[in-house]
Amino acid sequence: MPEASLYRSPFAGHVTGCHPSGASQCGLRLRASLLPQVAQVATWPTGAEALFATLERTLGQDLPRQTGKTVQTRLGLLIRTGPEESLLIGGGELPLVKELRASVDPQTGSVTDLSHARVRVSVEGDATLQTFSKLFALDLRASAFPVHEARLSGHHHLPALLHRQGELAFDLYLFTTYAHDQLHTLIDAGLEYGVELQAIP
Amino acid sequence: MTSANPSLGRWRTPDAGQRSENDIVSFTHDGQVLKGYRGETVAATLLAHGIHLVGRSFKYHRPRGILSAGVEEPNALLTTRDGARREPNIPATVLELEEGLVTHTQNAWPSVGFDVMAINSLLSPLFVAGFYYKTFMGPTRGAWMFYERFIRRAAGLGATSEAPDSERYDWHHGFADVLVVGSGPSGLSAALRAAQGGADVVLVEQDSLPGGSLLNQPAGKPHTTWLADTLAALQATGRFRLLTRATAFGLYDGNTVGIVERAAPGTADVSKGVPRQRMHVMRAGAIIMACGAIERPLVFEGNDRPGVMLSGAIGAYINRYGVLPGRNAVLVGNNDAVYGDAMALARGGARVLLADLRPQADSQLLSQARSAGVDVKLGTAILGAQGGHRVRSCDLAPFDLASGRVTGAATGHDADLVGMSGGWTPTVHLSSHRGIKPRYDAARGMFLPGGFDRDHHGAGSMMGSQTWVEAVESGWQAAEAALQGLPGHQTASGRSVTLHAPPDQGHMGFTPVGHLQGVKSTGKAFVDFQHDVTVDDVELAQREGYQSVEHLKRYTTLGMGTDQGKTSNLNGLAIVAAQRGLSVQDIGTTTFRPPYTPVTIGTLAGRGVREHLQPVRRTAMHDWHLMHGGAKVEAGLWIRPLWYSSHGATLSEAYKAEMDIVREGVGIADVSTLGKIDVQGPDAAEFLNRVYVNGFAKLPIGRARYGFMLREDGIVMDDGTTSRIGETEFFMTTTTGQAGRVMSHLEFLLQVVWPELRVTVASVSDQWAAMSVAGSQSRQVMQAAFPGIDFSTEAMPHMGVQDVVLQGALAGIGIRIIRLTFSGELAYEVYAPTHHGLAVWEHLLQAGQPWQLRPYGLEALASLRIEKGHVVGSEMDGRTTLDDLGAGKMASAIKPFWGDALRRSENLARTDRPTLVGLEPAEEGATPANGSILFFADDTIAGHGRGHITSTTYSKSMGKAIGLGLLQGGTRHIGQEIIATSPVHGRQYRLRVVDPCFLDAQGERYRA
Repeated sequence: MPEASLYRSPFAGHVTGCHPSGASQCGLRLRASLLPQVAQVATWPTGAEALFATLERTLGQDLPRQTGKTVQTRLGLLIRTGPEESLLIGGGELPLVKELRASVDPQTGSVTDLSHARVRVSVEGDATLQTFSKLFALDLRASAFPVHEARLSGHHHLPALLHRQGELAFDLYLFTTYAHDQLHTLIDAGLEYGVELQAIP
Repeated sequence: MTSANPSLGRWRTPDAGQRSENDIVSFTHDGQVLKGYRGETVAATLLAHGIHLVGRSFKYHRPRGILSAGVEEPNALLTTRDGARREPNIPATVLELEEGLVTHTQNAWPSVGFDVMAINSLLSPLFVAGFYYKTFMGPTRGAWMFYERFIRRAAGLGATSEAPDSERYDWHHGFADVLVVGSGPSGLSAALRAAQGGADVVLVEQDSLPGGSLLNQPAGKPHTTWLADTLAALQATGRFRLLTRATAFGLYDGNTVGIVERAAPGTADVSKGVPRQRMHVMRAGAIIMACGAIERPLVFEGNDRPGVMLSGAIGAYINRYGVLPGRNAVLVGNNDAVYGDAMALARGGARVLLADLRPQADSQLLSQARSAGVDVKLGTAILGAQGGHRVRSCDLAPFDLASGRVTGAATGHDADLVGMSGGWTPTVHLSSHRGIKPRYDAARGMFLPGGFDRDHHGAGSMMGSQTWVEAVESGWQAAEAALQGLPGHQTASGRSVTLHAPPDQGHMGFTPVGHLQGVKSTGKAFVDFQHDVTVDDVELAQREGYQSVEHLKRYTTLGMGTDQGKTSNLNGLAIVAAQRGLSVQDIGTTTFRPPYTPVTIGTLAGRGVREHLQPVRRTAMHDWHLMHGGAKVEAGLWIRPLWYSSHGATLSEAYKAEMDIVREGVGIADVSTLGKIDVQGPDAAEFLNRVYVNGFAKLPIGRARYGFMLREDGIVMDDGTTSRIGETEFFMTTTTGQAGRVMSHLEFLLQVVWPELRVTVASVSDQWAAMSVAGSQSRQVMQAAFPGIDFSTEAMPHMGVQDVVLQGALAGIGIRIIRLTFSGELAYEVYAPTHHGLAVWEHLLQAGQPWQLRPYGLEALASLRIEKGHVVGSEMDGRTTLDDLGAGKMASAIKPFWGDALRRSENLARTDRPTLVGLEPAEEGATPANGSILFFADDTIAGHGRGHITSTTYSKSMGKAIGLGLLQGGTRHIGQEIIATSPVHGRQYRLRVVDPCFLDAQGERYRA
């Protein structure tokens, strides 16, 4: 792994703290972070079964068959982002792409390294749902978007993948080059509830 | 009768009505400071202070007062606030009092009391319907444009501020199982039933409080208790959300309703991010419309005088706000509800005469009214009202309802208040927004919804309910129907719920009354108050042939304006029907379109303004560019450095210096904005072979190839290079501007056209930062930066590709290097993982110091490519073919590719199409200008010419301004002089046609 000094944060320029300054309440807490490893595993329409059989063998567990479902695996969090596509958010321990490529041969599917293409903004707080309702045309009721599920949506004309961590807690996976602006939008949307940017990489 | 606190107005009733607020608020109206109670509307407070004159009419500048107590108000339109926050045409009847609020009357000068333009009223015989159309058509075709500014100054409503709106607005996406629009008895009933049935319910109410018509009834009665109980029961369900001050203004596809929510007075705060108005885009499983009904005015001479009000509005001001609009009142109506308003007036201390147009009335009601002191005259009509700034008298006469004729002599009655009620018009706007025309119910004298889309339901007076019991029952039934359409929710058969209804006092049944027959008058009887449309105007339009209701609307402007004819349309239709001897159903209605009430542009824009107008995309080196004098320029959504101030004081100086850096030494440019697509799969090579016009099937691993791709219609879509990383893996780059489109194109082809191909595509534009090291000394710089890599031509030939994991200072970073050129110089593109992009960029700059490696910006990048004749979006403009761009020879003749068939179509294969040429001055000072139109030397300079200039720059290498263009016949004209005209710049100049490649046509520089 390269040294930490060789990383540049796409969130550079944002300042941690409360917005608006002096707000007595903080309805939204944000933490932005880089992701150690991200890989997209995909295949073509006729290859879905074979790919997921391979992945299940590799990961040693059943995988969700439905788009939007997630499961924690030994290589990290697996999110079914489409019928023939999953995103794996890995920790730093195992070389994610290398491990996947070792088991998913090119005749079965593809593995694409997106470790630098996605970043995460974790959002929680009482005003999470009100704030998100400003951004996403997404039914956030628990019946429509249960905890531990994921939804691909968008805000500010940009894509965003939401992973629900709790009733009022979400991880947003954003495209790196847009992330600075999306965080700005997120802070602006939550301004009326009080926003605290707790961490940026 | 007089308020205990005179500063709050002398026209307040002894009791407070339903008012619960006792906070006193001050506001300024036309410079006069007035006090009222928080929660009141401005209209209520003005009436409490005895102010009836609140505006001037649109065309005649007649004095106008307050007609209604709701959104239908056509007259009492005010301009609120000042400066950039000024907002015109706000009905005083919905504008809530707010500390420090400033309001102005409008369309009057110098004051609403003395308006010079009231002279229009004297000239009114001239200003009939169609006056403008007939009068201001000549003498020339453009005459209207001259007259228009004067007419608009004389007529019209308020003026908005032209300064940027400093307020904040917002958008919300909402979801509900059941959306109920309207919180009157039927809406509350529907909401309660739906919530108790297990549905998530959102109830939308345009008023500041829920309750609808219940709010306008006397306080302390059983219906007040019913309202409180029902709201409590709704809250207890835990499935209920109430939006007040929220107007459902439009119904759209997919059960989507547009709602505007206004902030409560004093709560909006830009500094704290609290918006003034919010747009809710509400998507519901089912929608119950309980939108109510609007009281209909009567049409008689002088019905627009200040002090002539809708009867129900009088009741509302007394019962809800404790404000007495007059002390000597005449009420005229065709229904029982007027009796309630009359009794409210009497309770408030007014002298009341009630003229009932009907020959008979309910005996119990008559008895109650007379006991309350109301003088009731049955079978009596109003013929006219007199007054100036305030009504002072009216004429009543015996009336035969069956024939619609006045049957006796008129008698005059002093009055400072005239109430009128011609029945009710159901609010069918929302149901009509889906394109379902309302149907006329002749028996009830009203248009009702003509039907509903699936999962849409109606309830209450909107559906013709005439009593609260009927309304509550209809709401309940609507909810039952809605629940049946929602999976997993319980209808009444599965759960026992008690149906309560408030005791019935508000009987809305009425006997329709048309325009009075046998009445001769010389004054004006208004149908549309806001647009000054009279009975005479409507009849004139009919006589002149504007018989269709749509023509009538456009000729007379009946039903136009901010109120969209909420109080006028039905009366207008009734007059037309009577005149033509048809039924109202035969006449029909105009089309109901959103919005139901005006919506500010700010609300529609939401937060998407200023820095939030569009997203900003940053490369990994973004901050570096800014810190080193990079001048920002938007390139799509990207922010790119156009030039660096360290290279010159101006753009012109700097980009020429930066061109020199590349041509004479070595430069580095941030090209991260290129689209990058990962293409993998056993059939990836075959896929690319079909996508590109040239062959990719046999591209060796470790090599890149330049290619064009076409649209299905044979037009060039994009160009770029694709590298073969492995047997089944490719790395495609696209132009910055077409990255998204190409990605979508590839996905479309795989999903729809060639689903049998085993290929995946993934955008990796965000994964890679990219930089181009270009110039004759680029090899030395690369070798110094990455000493472990062999950059000799043998090891790294032109279009060679290498993936390398770096050692040393950048240990562990995996980069991709492609030797290719955009500038025509020896060049390398270095791709680094985005988070490491800055580190690699700075590493290269440091390594390149001995060769004075410096950055160059977008302007130099573009200029260098023009010198080489490389095409970009300016040339690939969605109209050009491969042959147009001089690239026809790249197309394979032995393999099929996307777009090949239609590129051979007759039109695209024409030999006289404009094709790519180079252009240089043929005379002193002939600097090519982008967009200039090209003509041959012997052409007449007119029309679209023979082509146009697509790109221009100053070439230091050539020592002159140069350009690229598309010219009929293209390079066949090399050496010829042509004429360029630039109408925008007012220039005409001579150019010479040359080869589009100005520099190093043999490619010796980049092959070095």
